[in-house]
Amino acid sequence: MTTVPTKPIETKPSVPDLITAVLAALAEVRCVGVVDLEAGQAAHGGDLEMASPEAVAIIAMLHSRFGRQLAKVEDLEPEQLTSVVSLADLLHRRWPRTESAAEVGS
Amino acid sequence: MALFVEGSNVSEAWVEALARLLDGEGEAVNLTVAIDDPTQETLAVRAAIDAFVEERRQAKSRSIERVSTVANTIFPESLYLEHLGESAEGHLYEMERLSRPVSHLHRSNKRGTYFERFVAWPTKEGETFNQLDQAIRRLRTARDRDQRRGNAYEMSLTTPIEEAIAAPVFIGGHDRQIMGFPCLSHVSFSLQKGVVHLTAIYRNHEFIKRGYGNYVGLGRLLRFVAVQSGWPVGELTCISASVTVGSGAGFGKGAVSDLLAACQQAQKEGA
Repeated sequence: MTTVPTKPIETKPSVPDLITAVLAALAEVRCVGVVDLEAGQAAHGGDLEMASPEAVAIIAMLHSRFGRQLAKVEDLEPEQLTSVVSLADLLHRRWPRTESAAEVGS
Repeated sequence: MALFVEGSNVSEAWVEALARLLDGEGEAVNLTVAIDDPTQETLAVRAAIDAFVEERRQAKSRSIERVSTVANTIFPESLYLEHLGESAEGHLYEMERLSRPVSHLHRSNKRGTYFERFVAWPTKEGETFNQLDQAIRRLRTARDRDQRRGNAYEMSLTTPIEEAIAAPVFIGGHDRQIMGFPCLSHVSFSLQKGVVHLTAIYRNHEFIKRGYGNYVGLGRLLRFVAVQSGWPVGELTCISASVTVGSGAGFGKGAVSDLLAACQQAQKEGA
């Protein structure tokens, strides 16, 4: 299980970094290997669909991993949480504007 | 006046209940909907409802939730990995617990979700109690004893801590809001003749905005409990003490009548 870092990670990850992180978290949610997800991703044109509860669990995991609150209220509408790539894009867009977990008291 | 509706699946029951509600000027007390197989839907009906919802969400995203979103507040199906066997429960509970801080950010979940009430009921001691876990364990025990003795078990509607397989949602003294969460007050599983059934009681139900998704979510909840405890899935009975069809922009009489007609047509085509 992921843990909350003592200090938030300041360096903004790239979209590919975030896709890797989302895939790793999705593997934990689905109890499968990352390799299996990558194979599925390749078979579906480079992306994988997700259900909203899976995406919410992933955001929570990455919140712990990066020590930052990575989503806003409006990000949690189901239209925003449809796939690995769209979630990674959303988290990338949010990065500069979000406060650290410590700052928001999470 | 009370209404009683039966349907073979979620779609058939919901469409019939909507028709009866519209016959009664769009509201009723004690609407009781019995669904023979609440794990099944007519896909064409679901598509008609999804289209109605999406049209309104495009006009105003907060006007109505998707059916899937409503269902997920009762049971987050995608986090239940049935193939894990008994471990599926622990995985589901852990994923929900982990998700909770983020889930609470959503405008509809500020006061939690129904599923959270099932698995993290707040006790007087300030801890939480997993009502679903208790229900499943007791149903498993019933099954084990049934195999040994060849007897059927019956269990009644009760309170969470002391008794068996009921799960209240409403928290007295805490849930003081007149409107909104929680509209679902109580669910009760009962075992009869080797089949697990579910009864759910709503104090208030907005039928178009929440009804279909609630029936889907309750059906999934029932299936989870039945599968994990090793019993067949029975029927769902949902009682709405007070129910209205819906109101506001996009829910006028004409729009609702059109939705009913589309669903009835879809029901015929899907039958």
